[in-house]
Amino acid sequence: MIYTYIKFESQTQGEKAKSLLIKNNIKSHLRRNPNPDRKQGCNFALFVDGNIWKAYEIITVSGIKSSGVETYRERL
Amino acid sequence: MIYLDNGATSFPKPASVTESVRNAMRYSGGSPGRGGHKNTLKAGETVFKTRELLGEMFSCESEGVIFTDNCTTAINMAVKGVCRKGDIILTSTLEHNSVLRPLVKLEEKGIISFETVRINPLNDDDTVNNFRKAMSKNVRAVVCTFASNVFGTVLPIQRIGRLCKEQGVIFIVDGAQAAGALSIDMKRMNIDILCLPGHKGLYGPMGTGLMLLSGRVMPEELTQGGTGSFSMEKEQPLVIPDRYESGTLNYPGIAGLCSGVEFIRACGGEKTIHQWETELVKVLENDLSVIKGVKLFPHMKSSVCAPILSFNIGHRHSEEVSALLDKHNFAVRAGYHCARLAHENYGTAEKGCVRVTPGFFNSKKDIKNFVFCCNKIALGKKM
Repeated sequence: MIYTYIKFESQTQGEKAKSLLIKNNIKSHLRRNPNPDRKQGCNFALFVDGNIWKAYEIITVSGIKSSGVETYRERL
Repeated sequence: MIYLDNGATSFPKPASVTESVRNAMRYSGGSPGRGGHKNTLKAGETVFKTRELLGEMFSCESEGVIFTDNCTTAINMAVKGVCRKGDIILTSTLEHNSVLRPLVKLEEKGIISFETVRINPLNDDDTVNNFRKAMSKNVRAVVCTFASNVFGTVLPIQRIGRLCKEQGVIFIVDGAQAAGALSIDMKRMNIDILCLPGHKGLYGPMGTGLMLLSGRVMPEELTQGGTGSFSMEKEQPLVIPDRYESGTLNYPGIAGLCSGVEFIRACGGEKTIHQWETELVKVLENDLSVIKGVKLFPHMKSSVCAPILSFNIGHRHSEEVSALLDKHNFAVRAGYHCARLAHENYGTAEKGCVRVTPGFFNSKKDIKNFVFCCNKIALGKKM
C-alpha cells in the first residue's frame, strides 16, 4: 500500500491545516505519521481526500508550517 | 446557597460543561497529541477546537493559545519568560498577588526592578500619563490587570497598549476578571501576552488557565519535557504551542472549557453576559446605598467596569460580615482578595471589604434577598 500525505511537526499544526481545508471544502484525516523521521521523532500526517497538491498549496499559502508532502510504501 | 462569588470561580457551570468533562473522562480519555490511536486523536481534535474558539474570541492564532493550570501559572510563565537582568517592569496599583509576587521574587533575586504606576479610576488620561511618565529605556514590559478583582475598575488597556507599542515595550495583561465579561481584542489592544483563567468567566473547570501569545513576543519556556513532538531531539521544540506545553494536558478540563466558550457564544457573547451581570450589580448598588451603615466603594469604578461591587458594613470586619452572610447561605468573598496593592492604595487595608460578584445564573430576586440580609446585619438584628 502506498500512502501520500502532508507531514506536520505537531498535532496543532495538522489540526489547523485540516480546519483550513474544511473551509475550502476538502476533507482530510490527521493521523500519526506511519513513517517518522528517525532523527526528529514523532510527527503527524494529514491524509487528503482529493488533490493533495492543491491542498498543500492552500496550506502553504496560508502560512501554516508543514514539513512537506511525503510518500510512504507500507512493508508487507 | 445563593452563589455571589463568581469573581473567585464561576458557579454553577453550564450543564454542557459538566457533561463534556464527564464524557472526556468516560469515553475519549486519550492523551492529546500523544500516540496515534482513536482516543488520543479525538482528544487532540477537541483540544484544537478549543484553541480555535479561544483564538477567535481573543484575536490571536490558534497555536498561540497555550493551556496552563490557571491564570497565575500563565502570568508566571509570561513575566519570568520575558524578563532579563537589568530590566525595569511597570505594573499598577490595582494588581493581584499573581502579578505582584512574581515581580517581587524577580526583584529579590536581583534580576529586575519594578515600579508601581498609580491608577486613577476616574481619569484614564491621568492613568495613561502616569504610565507614560514611568517609561524609560530600561523598561522591558508593562504587566497589569485588565480589571481590578476588588473594585471592578477597568484600566484603559487599549491606550496603555498603544503606549507600549510606541515605546517598544512588551505588554502583558492579566485578564482574570475580564475574560467572558468584557471584550478583549489582543490585536486592537496591542496585547502581546494575555493571561486568563479558564474557570471564571469562561465557565471551564478549575485547573484550566491560558497564556495567549500574539506572536510578537516569545517568552522563554519555564519547563521542558515531553511534548509529543520532535521526540528524538534533545532540545525543547520551539514550535508553539508545544514549546510551552510540556507534560500531559488537562484534557477533561479543556473539554469542559471548550463547552464553556461555546456556552458564551450561544448566549450571544460576553456583551450579553456583561449586560445582565451589570444590571444585577446596579440593583445591588442602588439597594445597598440606602442602607444606613453600608459603605460602598463605587468611587473606584470607571465608566465601564467588571461586574463587581465591594462594600463594608459599619465597623464590622469584612470577614465577620461574610461569615454572617454565609450563615444565611449567601456566598461572597471577604478579606483582602489576594490584592494587597489594591487595598493599600485605595484605603481598605484595615478591614478588607466584602466583594459581591453576581453571575449569569443569578436573578434579581437573589440580589433582593441578599440586600435584605445585609440590611439585617447593618441594623444589628439577631439573625
